[in-house]
Amino acid sequence: MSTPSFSSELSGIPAALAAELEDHLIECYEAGLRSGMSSDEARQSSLRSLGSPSEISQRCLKESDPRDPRRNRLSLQHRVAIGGWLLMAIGFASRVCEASDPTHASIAACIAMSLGALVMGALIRRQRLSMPVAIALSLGLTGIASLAWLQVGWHPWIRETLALTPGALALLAAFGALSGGALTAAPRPAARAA
Amino acid sequence: MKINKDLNAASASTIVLGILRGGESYGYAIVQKVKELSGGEVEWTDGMLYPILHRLEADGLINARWGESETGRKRKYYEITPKALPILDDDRRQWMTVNAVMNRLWETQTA
Repeated sequence: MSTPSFSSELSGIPAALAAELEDHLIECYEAGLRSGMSSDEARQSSLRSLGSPSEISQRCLKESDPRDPRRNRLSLQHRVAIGGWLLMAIGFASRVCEASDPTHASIAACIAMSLGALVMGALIRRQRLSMPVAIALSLGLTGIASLAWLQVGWHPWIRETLALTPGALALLAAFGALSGGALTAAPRPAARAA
Repeated sequence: MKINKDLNAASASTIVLGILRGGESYGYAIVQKVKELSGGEVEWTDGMLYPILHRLEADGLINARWGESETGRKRKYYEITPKALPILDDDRRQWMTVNAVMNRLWETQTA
């Protein structure tokens, strides 16, 4: 008994789900043949009983989305990341305030750098990237932007007061990425599945 | 019999977990088991099962593995995890409680 192809109906669906649905369709088809249907009737019947593969695919993706608010909660890791980012942002802001002659532009730049790491983390997370990739991209983008700004607007009091070492910038970017990812995940208690 | 959509949605996960408690299975077989258990009274749209399976897997209540069918086709098998067992037991108690209330209500009304 040759099995029909359902590849046209399953095109555009993630490969793993397409394989699963194809197995289901073929089982339905073979059951239809055993019940006396013709090949065409059995094929149509199996497609009708399954429903729209693209709708199934969208619902499966939605149900297994790790960012589903029903599933996400703030873990200890997330709380540490958000706490670390807030402490670093407050630390930078306080050093700016203590400096002898901080300009408005310098203050704004420091706040922007802190917020930038957070926003980048949130935006990167929305692209469904994994957390290690999000952290790496945030580190890279924050690092490049910060170095460019420091090169252009190198003010003596920055070196003396803020101590923007590469390590501090890296920590800011990493915490920002983790915090952005945590905030994007919309922390709520996970609903019990039943 | 066409079951109310809300009732179907409320019971579907519990039914799937209950079926998998009896052993590993796959999508088509689960749908057939539902028909068999209900004597054909409950008929799920085949497609409604897969989002449920994916959600249960994402929640860690079932595990999936790829195997082969009798004819060598790729097939995804599901099994229940230990994490799901207390949840399933709790669901069973809840459904039995609701069922008992309904039965007493119908007895009162038909008496």
